[in-house]
Amino acid sequence: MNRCQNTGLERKKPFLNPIEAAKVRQEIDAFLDLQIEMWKQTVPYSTHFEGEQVHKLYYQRHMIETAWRIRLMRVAESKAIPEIAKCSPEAAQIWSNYQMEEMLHDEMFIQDLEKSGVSRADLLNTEPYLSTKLLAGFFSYLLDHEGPLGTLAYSYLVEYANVKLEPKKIEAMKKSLGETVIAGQIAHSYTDTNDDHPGEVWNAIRYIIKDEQDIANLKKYLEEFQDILAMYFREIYADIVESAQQQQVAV
Amino acid sequence: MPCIFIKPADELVTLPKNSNLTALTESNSSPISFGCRVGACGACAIEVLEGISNLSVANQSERDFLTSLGYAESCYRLACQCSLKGDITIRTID
Repeated sequence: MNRCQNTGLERKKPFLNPIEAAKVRQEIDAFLDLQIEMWKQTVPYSTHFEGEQVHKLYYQRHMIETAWRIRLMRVAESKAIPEIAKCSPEAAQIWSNYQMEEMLHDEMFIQDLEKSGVSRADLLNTEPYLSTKLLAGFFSYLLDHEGPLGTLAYSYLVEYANVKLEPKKIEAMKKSLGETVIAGQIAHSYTDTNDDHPGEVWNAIRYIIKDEQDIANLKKYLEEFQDILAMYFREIYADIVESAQQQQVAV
Repeated sequence: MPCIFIKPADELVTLPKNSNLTALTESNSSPISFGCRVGACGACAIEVLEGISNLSVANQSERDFLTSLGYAESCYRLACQCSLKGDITIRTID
């Protein structure tokens, strides 16, 4: 008996062939569309940046957190590479390339932050919200105890939502904040779309899915990540918007 | 869905639009030998007989490498660098 395992060589072909995977992807995308609608109805300020006016402090703090989230997630997502390689070297190759493309994306947001009056020192002196730390912790839990599928699910959720929602948000922010002020975010949006990041992540997911249960698990992960991201939106809303309203009442 | 007709094996494979041609490894005969899958080894060089415009455009790095392999004409591609947009006919290179 050969004791050497977890080499990613057990399956010659993925559970889902390319045509079956395309059908499952349509099902997942429809599932995400429902999640997005629910998100818009239940999460405070979820479409704030699509409006005519932007709350400046909220915008700055959101950009700070976005930079932190990218910085924390790139560490967690890099740790996923060996776990994915144990299941599927094909998926690990796609995922590694995706990580290479994503690795320095925080810079685009930091450049916009500086244009809005927040320095790099301000960013470094601002601690991430608890919800963001919990998100990073959830990644560690998933990799240690449930496998890499959850990590890939998070990226699919983010990339799908970005490609679907960012263009409308970017167009609105060009008017509310000015095109030059959000140049980094425009570049980021171009990258996600032009490099087909949703397609790239889905291709890695296809190689990782090993049975019907994994498809059900994928949906569960998408719901769980939406819950955690909603925690962040409630946290920043309470910290920036509600606290200012309470201070006004007190005065 | 786009079709790929592969010569000389005379095999017809259907893949979803935007699939990378590396998915051909899952067809019954796996007619193309893929190596590194990042466009660096040349193992998956193919000749596109019909439908070259139905593949994603080759970047300069791919063109330079194909030229160094002796395949300077635009009908040659590295299959691992191709996304499928429509029907194509290809010939494998031994």
